Amino acid sequence: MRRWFDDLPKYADDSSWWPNGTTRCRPEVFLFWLGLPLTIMAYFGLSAFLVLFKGLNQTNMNDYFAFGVWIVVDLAVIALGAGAFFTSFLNYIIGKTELKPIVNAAVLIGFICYTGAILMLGIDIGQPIRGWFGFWHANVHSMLTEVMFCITTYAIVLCIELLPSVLDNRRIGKVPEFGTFSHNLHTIMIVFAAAGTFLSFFHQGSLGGMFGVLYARPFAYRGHLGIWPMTFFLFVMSAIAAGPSFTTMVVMITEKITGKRLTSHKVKMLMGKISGWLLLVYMVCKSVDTLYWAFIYLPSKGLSVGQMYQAPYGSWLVWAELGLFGWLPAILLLTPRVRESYGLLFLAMLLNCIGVTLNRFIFTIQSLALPVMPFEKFFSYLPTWQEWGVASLVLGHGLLIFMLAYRYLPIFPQEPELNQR
Amino acid sequence: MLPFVFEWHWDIGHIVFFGLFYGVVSVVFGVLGLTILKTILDLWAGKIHSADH
Amino acid sequence: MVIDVDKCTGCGACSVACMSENNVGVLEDETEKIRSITWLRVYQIDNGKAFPETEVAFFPRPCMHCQGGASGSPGQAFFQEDTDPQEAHTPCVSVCPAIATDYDDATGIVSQITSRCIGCRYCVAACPYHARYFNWYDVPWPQGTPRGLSPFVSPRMRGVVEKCTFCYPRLQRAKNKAFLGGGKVGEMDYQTACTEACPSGAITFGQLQNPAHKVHKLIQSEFAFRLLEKMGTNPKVYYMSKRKWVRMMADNHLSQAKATQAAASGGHK
Repeated sequence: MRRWFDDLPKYADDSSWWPNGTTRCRPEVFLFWLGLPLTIMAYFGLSAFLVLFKGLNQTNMNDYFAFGVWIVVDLAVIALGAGAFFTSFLNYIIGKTELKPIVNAAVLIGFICYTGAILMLGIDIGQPIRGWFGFWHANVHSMLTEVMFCITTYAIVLCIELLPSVLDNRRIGKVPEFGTFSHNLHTIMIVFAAAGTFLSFFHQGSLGGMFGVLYARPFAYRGHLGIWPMTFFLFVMSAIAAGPSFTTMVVMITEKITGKRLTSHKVKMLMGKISGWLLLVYMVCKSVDTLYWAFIYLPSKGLSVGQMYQAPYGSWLVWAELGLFGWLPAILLLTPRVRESYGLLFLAMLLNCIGVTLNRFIFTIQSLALPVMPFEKFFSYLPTWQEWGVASLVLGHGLLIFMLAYRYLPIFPQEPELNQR
Repeated sequence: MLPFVFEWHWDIGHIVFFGLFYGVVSVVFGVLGLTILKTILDLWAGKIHSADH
Repeated sequence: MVIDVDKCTGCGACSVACMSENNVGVLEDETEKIRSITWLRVYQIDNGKAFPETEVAFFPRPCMHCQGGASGSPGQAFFQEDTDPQEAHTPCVSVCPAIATDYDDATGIVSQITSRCIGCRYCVAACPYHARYFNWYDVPWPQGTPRGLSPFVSPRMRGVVEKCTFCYPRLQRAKNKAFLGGGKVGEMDYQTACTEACPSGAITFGQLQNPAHKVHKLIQSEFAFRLLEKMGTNPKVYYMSKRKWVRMMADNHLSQAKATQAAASGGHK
């Protein structure tokens, strides 16, 4: 039977753009699946238009929940995108070149997470046109200023880190100017990896610091080490523990969808091991921090732990965050038998990523949900569909960029070798 | 940003923060500029790298 | 500022005067209380007892104009705290990324520069008193009403945060008057709108550190207290009450923690 797309003219054939030695699905199948991210982006577009045009009253945020699902998603994707800086750091600076096969993917995922977060933040602020005031009238004592500076700059660094992958496309790379530029960028990448590490370290921390400095919010406040509250270090640790897991998870999902092997299992196991050790260190620190907060800090303010967890944000959150999504994945990832199994490794990494997301949720929503004045009421919050629309941007534009990048860019250097017939 | 903007406080934080931050920004853009310059010089000298080679 | 809780009848005249003085608009739907703007909100509290013993009191709550850095502040934290005086800070001022709010060392007033505010709402999150309000809507000024607004206070646009300024424009006018008259700003030259409006005289306003001012004497009283003193925010608004349960309501106490916890869990079940 003849199908209509059999007659598509030859220019629809994009196989000369595919990475060397790989095969990809037919253009019409690809175009069909592009519909998915484009639909999500359309949903985002409608929501973003409504929010920008009519104002933040389109959300369910209010004067009690000054931050909502957007900040939760922002913090979560930035933590999950930490795989980019940490993998680059290990690969280029520490010299763990075993990670080379996955570093491009990590940078790509980081790029998606950061650009998504910045776009969302632009919609989140009440006066987006004044967004640059944070740079011009910078208050150097605010953690948020530091976050703004570093996220913006790090997004630029990520663009530069991603550039060689784009230039190495089979067709683009044939252009002598691009090919030479890409070669030169590769040789100097260590500088960008170092700059990225510096910037990332500080803004991952400052995102935690944002909550740790709220000394009138007993749920969030933590003691200081130097000028940084404990949450600064805890957020850095949890981000670098979850980042490599998330990167590997995305690669595994891509493998399942495309039916191809993209990196060797050894690389994934190494990423799992790195994640596991970092998570273990984080869990020890986090547990000590939680105990100190619960039994020494809170009573000094006339509060008890029980008051901190009220329905619907009950004490089950602690057990979930520290137990099921904290210690459990740490132990799993450190068990060699678990790492050897594809499914179990994926599960452990998933738990790890849920854990960091839950942590960001608790710090954002629960810090604000709890009234500090004894006679103040307790409110809960649910996002509107417009908020979900804007929050789904990361998913939509992430899918779009990842699909295009997977089809045309040499993101996975091991792919040709692993899929030889 | 600038001392003549009202509500400005002088303090060491500005020097540390802006110093570090703009230092990193200059390194990033400086190295990017140098790479572009080197590429132009390489092309001039005929040291071409491309997917064909 | 000192507010005598025992004298407050909860009439709300202070709130109305404040809105009128500072051009706070009325939204289309004011039933949505968690989004409506009341720089000076009157909280009603009760002692939680059944009918014959029930007692009610009111906490009018303007911005506390916290100074920060007092006893019980982060300085007593586990690790060392930055000794930089800028860091002994007002909770909301130090967090603003754009210096859109500032602590004035001369007057102790926490200002809000609405035309510089980017609307990130980090300050709203930092304030435990809920004294900061975000403009979720454009104010739908009915036709003609803008002509009745106070010319001394700029109305705010959608997407910025605003709060009580202790009627700062009144201080500026008092200063101008004093400059032209060659004198100094006296206690009665600068009074906030809420102070003037209170029919029972519950609000007293003046300089806390000036021994000639009434407030200076009032805060020495054993019945004077502040909201959430344990947090170390060091507010400049004092309350007075001879009733012990009212004073207890102003802060969190471990002895009460169990009771409120039981009440909270009971209420949700």
